[in-house]
Amino acid sequence: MLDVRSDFDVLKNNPGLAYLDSAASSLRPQSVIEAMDEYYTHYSANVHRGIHHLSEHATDKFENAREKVGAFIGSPNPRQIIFTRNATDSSNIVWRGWASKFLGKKSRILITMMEHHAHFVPTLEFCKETGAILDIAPLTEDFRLDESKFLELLEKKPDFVALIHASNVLGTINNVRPLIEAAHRAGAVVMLDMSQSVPHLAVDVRALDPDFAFFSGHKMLAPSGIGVLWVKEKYLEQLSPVTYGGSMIAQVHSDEFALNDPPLRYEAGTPPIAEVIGLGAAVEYMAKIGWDAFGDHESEIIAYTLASLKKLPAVRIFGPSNTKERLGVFAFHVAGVPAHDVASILDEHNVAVRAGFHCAQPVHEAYKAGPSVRASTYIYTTKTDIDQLVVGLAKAQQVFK
Amino acid sequence: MSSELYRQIILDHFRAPHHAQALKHADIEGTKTNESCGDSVRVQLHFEKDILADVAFITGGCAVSIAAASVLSDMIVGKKRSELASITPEELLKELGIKPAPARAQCALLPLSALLSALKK
Repeated sequence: MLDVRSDFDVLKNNPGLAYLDSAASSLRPQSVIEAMDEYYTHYSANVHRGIHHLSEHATDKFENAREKVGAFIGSPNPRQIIFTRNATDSSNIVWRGWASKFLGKKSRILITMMEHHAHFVPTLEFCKETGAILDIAPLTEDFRLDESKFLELLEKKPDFVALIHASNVLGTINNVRPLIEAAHRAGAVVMLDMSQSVPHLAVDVRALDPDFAFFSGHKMLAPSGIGVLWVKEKYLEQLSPVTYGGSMIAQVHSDEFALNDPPLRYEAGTPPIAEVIGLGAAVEYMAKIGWDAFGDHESEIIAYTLASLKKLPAVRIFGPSNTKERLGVFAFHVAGVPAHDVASILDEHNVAVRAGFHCAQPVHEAYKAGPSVRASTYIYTTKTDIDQLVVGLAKAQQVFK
Repeated sequence: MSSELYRQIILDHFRAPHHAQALKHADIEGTKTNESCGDSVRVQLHFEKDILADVAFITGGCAVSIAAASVLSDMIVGKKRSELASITPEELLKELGIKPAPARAQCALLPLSALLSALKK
């Protein structure tokens, strides 16, 4: 098991806290906070414009973070990494900057019932605006994507497929590589939501081969306010900027302007510099731990959590109940206790979880499930945290007996 | 088992909420949902002349919002229409006997907000 808790001052400052809400936002190690502090205390200048050495240093660090993030997900070139505000922002940039140009009324779009609202809502809005036809691939009884139905829907020749790599509710990891391959064979352009996968799995965009992909920093030890949109080289020039202004131009005259090259073309205005540097530090921290140690720790916690929850007869896990192809994301219902009340009682026992639909209401509705409680784990989660959850759940049942 | 938020009054009203059956003849209705948790409250009001003769809160949600709807229903039946709009969040929380944190206060106040929006119709 990993022992990284001393890297997280937030855990020291909250003794006794079982933080089981990492799928919403992870905690941040000191190295990330220090990297951001260092920017503010040693070279806090703007990037890509100053002639002075502070600005040059800031630009180096900023672009170095882009290289680290690119290498982390196997991007062939760092220029394919576009810094955005978060996953939702990234998704919207593709809908506004690419789909609006290349898709329209006669287009067909395929998504899955497992999508996060970051995919679902912009898709629905786009279809409403343009009249494009939407197909939604259903899920199976054992909380996985119905791959055969997905493949069947590909026979309708969708132009665009928006797919989630791992569910932020069910915890299911989708075997996306063959699905993306099949979607390409059917002629579709594919956007992959990697918000839950990049924080937990070794992800290689060359192997998975999406055309667009995105994730958020705040779920992977990095600060909030920074996200990534990865774009396949072929589409880097096809994408149009959705925000115009400084940085994204090569030259501006009173009657015309010329666009800068990607990725700056898509990063108008002063970017969140400290946050980008923080994301670079987070990636470095994860790389230092290494995927083997990372995976071993997470597998053990996942197995322990499943075994612990299964011992509670009132708890029904809303997601795969085996350890195969799943993340440490456990949505569940407690018989007789509404989800919000479970979360409140857990909070009284210093256990932080989320309650509600977790920005994925359609997946709940697909199973006719009400709001759920969600406990999610990460590299700093211990078996003690899970034991504390179990005690809290027993107390919730006692209160509502 | 003691809990700060889950006092007996909340649990009692949750288990047997008052005025939770849909009305046959409602004069006005209103619905409010809480996006963050998915709770929803539908309120139906039936007036006789100017007096609220009957009310129903049909609530899908947590114990706090169900109990709050139940307590609120007892507070308002028999009141004049003009008096209903002046019920404050503080009054309802006082009646419930809880001081919830902001996120849970939203649950407790959802029925009141459904009532106030219905009254504006």
